[in-house]
Amino acid sequence: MATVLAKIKIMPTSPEVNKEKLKEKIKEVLEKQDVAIRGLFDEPLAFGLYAIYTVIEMEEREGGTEPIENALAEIDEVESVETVEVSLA
Amino acid sequence: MAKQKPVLNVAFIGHVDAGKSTTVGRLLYDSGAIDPQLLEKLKREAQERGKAGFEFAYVMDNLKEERERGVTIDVAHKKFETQKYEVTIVDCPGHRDFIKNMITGASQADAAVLVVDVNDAKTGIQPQTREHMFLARTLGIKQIAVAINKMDTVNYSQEEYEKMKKMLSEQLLKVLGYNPDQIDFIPTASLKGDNVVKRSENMPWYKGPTLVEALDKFQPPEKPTNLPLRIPIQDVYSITGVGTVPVGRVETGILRPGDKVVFEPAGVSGEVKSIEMHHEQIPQAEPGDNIGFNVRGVSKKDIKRGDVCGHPDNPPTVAEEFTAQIVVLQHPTAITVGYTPVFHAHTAQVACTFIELLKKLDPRTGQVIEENPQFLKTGDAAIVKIKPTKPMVIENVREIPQLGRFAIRDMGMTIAAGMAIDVKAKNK
Repeated sequence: MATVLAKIKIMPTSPEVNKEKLKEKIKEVLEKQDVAIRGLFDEPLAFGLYAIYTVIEMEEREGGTEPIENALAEIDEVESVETVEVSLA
Repeated sequence: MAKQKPVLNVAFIGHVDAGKSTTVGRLLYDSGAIDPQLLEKLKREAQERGKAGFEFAYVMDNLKEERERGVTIDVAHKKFETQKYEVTIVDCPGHRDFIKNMITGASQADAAVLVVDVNDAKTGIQPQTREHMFLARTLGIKQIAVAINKMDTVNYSQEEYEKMKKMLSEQLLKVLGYNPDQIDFIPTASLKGDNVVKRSENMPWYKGPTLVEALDKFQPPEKPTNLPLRIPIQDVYSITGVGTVPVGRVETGILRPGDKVVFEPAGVSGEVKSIEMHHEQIPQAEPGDNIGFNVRGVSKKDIKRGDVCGHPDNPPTVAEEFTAQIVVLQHPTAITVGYTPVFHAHTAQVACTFIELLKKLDPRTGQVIEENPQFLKTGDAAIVKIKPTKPMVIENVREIPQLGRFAIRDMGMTIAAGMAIDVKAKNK
């Protein structure tokens, strides 16, 4: 079974969202999925908004990144989730 | 200060057993991309543990362990330098469910390297190879090179190489519209290191470039600044003291403050007041820029994720219906007229109905093998007619390739991938 790295972009609902607390919630959600967290960082975007990125390592399995995207999208302070890169490890 | 080298994004595609990841590893190893101190340490360890001669495999295994310790944060990238480029490698997963990410994601490859096993000349082209090549075509990748790998397993035979080259040219590349005369076919043995970075002494009959030299023959990526403006909207914010701020990545065209813009299929217009990227105002936004822009005359409730921003003189195309070329990657039963899965195109996700199955194509030759087939199953390529169940922007892939491709999802699986080849517009 091959290993895949995926970089996921998570947008908060507003610039007022505390990005450190949001990162903690993201980490909690990811730890319940069958993935390893290889990176979790933020990047300034526009007008006070930040994008949060996580790099995860997962098996190359059915469903792909969608179950993880769906789980992250359930967080209250998350506006949207998008996988921006995938590559074999 | 020397000028920075242009960045070239290269996708490595092909069947998992063709040695794709080994080829990537060999590129990194032989090109000196691995930190010299770390490399020296690992090589010494390899010798101490009696693995002299297997340094390459030992280093690759240990780099994986380094990654697991979180040594480098941007682990999704593998980078190295050629004479001409700073190359970023994407080693494409083979599983179909990751194909959606590559079609709808922000990362776009400027070129691709197809890695095949020379022994496939005896058994036929692997299905995954076909899928990846179709995917590369769908993604609009025009520049490719082919590594005919595992030459060490056929005693570096020129005859075996020529067989594989001929098979690929006639049964795959020409069919997809590539000209084999413009493609380098490089005989490699990645495990040994032949012709990846270092020229091989085992194949004196081969006079072409090594793989890394073939990468330098690629043209630098061009930003599609001359195409009409298209910004798929990822999110919309109402920001205190600012107003409405849509966020998205510019796919084509240029956006400037003062521009009048329209959002489709929402059908609303406004004026751009300012554009920011990395919390800094910018005088214009170009393809590849992830931006937020303040737009007057549009409120947060008017537009949403999946809408596309363009200029009023060439608005994004809202499809009444569209004709598409697709390849069926996996389906538990069959696709028939009336089937309504979800199409993922740019940031839009819309259920669309198959309203007509026009032609089934032979995946090997591209020839029409059946007019108006009753159904399509896994592995089939076809021309079909699609009707969105609600308004959706999609462009003719020949005109705006970045907005003409899609993945089809159902039951948590990627069913098919394809491109729109003719769009009947609602708004033009």
